[in-house]
Amino acid sequence: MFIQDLKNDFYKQLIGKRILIIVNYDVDAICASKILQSLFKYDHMLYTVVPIMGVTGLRRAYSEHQGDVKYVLLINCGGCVDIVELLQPAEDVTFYICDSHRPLDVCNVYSDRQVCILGDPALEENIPGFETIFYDSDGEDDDDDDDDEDEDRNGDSGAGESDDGDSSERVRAPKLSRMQKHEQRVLRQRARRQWESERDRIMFDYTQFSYYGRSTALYIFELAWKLSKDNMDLLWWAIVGISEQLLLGKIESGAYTLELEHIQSHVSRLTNKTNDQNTMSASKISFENDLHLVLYRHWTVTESMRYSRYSACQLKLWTLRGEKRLHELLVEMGLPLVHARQTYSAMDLILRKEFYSMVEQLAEKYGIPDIVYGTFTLSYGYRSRYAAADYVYALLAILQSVKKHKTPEDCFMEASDALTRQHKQLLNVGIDNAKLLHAAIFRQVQSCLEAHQVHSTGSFFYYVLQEEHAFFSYPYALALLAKFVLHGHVATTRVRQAPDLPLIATCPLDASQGMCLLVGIAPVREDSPKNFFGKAFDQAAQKSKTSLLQDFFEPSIVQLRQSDLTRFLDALTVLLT
Amino acid sequence: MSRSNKMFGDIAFDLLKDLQRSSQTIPGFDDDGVRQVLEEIKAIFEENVAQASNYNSSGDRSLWPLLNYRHAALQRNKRCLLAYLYERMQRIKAMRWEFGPIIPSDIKPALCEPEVQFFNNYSKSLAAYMRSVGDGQGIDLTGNLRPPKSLYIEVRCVENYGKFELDDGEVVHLRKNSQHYLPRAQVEPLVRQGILQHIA
Amino acid sequence: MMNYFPNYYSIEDIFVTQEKVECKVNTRLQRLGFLDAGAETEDLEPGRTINLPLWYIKELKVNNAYFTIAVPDIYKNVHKAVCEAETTHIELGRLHPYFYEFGRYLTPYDRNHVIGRIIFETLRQRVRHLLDISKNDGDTKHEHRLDNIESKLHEAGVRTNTLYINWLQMSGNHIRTSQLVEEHQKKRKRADRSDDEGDNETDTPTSKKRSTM
Repeated sequence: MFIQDLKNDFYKQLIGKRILIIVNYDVDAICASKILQSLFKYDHMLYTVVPIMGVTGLRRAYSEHQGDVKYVLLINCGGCVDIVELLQPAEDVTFYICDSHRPLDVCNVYSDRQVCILGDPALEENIPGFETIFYDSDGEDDDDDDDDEDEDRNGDSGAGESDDGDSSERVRAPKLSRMQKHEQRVLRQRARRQWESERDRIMFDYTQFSYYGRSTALYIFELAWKLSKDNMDLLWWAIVGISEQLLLGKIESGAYTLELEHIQSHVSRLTNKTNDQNTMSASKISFENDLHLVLYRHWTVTESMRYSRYSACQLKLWTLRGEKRLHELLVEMGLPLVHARQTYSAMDLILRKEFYSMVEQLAEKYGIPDIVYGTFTLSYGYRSRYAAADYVYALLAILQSVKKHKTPEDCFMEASDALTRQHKQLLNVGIDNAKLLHAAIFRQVQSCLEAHQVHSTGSFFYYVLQEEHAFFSYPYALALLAKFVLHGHVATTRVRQAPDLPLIATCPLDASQGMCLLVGIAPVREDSPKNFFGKAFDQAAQKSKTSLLQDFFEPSIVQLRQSDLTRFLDALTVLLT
Repeated sequence: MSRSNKMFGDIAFDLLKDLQRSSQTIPGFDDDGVRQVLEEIKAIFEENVAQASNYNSSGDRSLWPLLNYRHAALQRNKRCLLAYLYERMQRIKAMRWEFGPIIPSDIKPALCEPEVQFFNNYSKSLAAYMRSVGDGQGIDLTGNLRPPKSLYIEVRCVENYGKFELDDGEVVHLRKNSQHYLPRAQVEPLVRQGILQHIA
Repeated sequence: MMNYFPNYYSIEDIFVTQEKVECKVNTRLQRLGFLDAGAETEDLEPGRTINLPLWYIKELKVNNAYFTIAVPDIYKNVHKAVCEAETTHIELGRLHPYFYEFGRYLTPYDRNHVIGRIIFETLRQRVRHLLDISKNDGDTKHEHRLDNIESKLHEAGVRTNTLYINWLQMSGNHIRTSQLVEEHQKKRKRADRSDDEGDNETDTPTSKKRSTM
């Protein structure tokens, strides 16, 4: 069931209760949980935050706290799986789900009390009607109720269970002749079969694509606003949340632009509110047009341009010609190489001030018009100035900085700490790591394109990394790499339908267990965040009888055995042609 | 005494040196060292007694410096030994305040039996005292070492602890890397014990 | 904490009194030959120079008939610097780890009556500098520059300074892990870690745990 009035139906219900907050490993979720935590703190509500990874983690986290908590809040997880079935909770446990993953599981949607989805049903796309997917016993004859129970239990799976009616049929209507009864039954069964195939079709349509809803952080921020407990920090976290969606392609550019307007009104409102006690140490958020250049405020201009996907792919910066073109651009901008090659913050003040406009003016000419986008920057004190994207890249890098004595959970906590202003050094370390990551991605793309390692099956591209890698054995980095590779390949290839083809990239995960990570990337031409790979992977696995580990909440990222890879890709090729 | 660099009092001094230099919270009780010092004291004492009686009967003062030196060495040994025990006692007392009423299992073997006894008795006296003050309510003197600013604090679990029951009956599962918002007074001991970390 | 008034149990004071002092033997001392490492006789012969621990010397009268106590050179060496008020650069810790306390014990045996003045003046001149460095460079180590008492003063200075700063920033109100526990855990962790030492730095590629999107 959906809850729209977050203030009254969600927040006020929870006051005075103890809450378990289960948070997925992504930047948006971390931001959302930070905002929620500060809200709960205002009201002295006891809470427990547990970071989790994937479905297994969710199940483990819940089972550990089972019995102690009655209210569970899931952030960016659990929306797409049937929570009641997965966790088997006691009757008195209530789940609140705030998940940007789509499509939502229909059982969660139609749960009457136990599962509450925070969101507006009007914004959800074509959720199948209740009667089209759940068998309604009222419209049937009484003698069919055994059947109905069965149906209710299994209705969610979407798989057919066609003829189990016969055996349980009981003779309770002696008035009808045998013939009539038989006829009726046949008719009923036919209607039933028809209904079932229709339901399967509807469910397939509904679950075919995985995509994303609104940023959870932004959604929670709006709750804070309605409670009049919003402030600059919370707003900034919301901005970071939505910026993650933009940078990882989880949101359409149109939708992003719309959200920008909302955020801008929040920014000006809060700025006016705090201006009264204006001090230089206060934080300030400002809207501005910025460039899609990775971390350029903390890097050098040349490096940032080279390692950013958009500019690198448009200018083909991994080639010698591309490099020349970059230099041409710099010359025309009037940016001396000496300056372009030194840290941005050490560049001449005038050059720094004009950098944005210089790039903007020449963007059209050099075929990089989309390099400009609207975003926000945060400044506090005199020196620190960060774009929302800087935060996102830094946090992503922190989330992946798993080391021997640093578990993923440690990384999660560190990322969550890095968001607070007192821990600027953590953020800066994250930024440095992010630079390493992007440089590594670029080198990988370069060698991959030079060695023509992207192969085509006709219906999709695939790219296989042969060895475990410090960065690319992690989902985020692999996805970023795959996207860069696809864009790079499309930019260089002469094949006409290339922009319409998706890409699958895979990298060994764990040599000892022979597992590998597989990620599917939507075609270049596709602007919407829709991705059909989740379903496709599922079907290909069934066809090729490989066991697939779809543990992540991103269905387009899966794990499978290295030895099954070829078989799986073959099956996928057949499926997609 | 053999012609080595070892002088009277050196073994006793080594006891203290080891105690001071050890990187452990409290090093193991040096049974052997203590015994050797006691033997040294005994030996010095017996020699001195023999020669002093000789002095009493003959009045020969020529051995006076030797007697004097030995006596000083005896006193020195005694001082070192007592300081050794005293310092360990101080540390054991500090442990009661910082680790709580239970000696960590990896420290326990370092204590000798009378020391364990002392710890338990000290712990009991402290508990009895804490119960007696505060208008019959009792005050936990080991808590609230800094004036609290808020009733609740945000803590992060750095070690698996298991279930923790709050005063109001709520049970919190403290598992490594989970983060909680809990009543300050009740989690302070856990923070002090390093199971939770107070975060800003 | 500080050892200004050493008591009977003070380990610091026991350390100081363990220091050796050079003495000249004045008369023949029966059966004390073992005190002189170079002597073969059973008795201690007059005119020999031996090192005696301070804990014995302080039992002797200043004008005892057996030994004459020689004032260590370190105090003489500092004398000049004291007069020129240039003591802040002296590496006192290298000169003697217990410069002041040792000197205090020797004061009565010094016939020229300068040691007392020297240690007083030295500290008087250096204390301001000490205050300075504890305020400004809390983290740097001054291993050889400071003697035992000075480094304790320095520590105390650094500590109060951080407390003061915390108070100013209103961040001093955190509950911390108790010091003993913290040290104890660190040691335990170090012990754990030394078991699987080897690729601490280069372990990024091989880690098995991952984060998801």
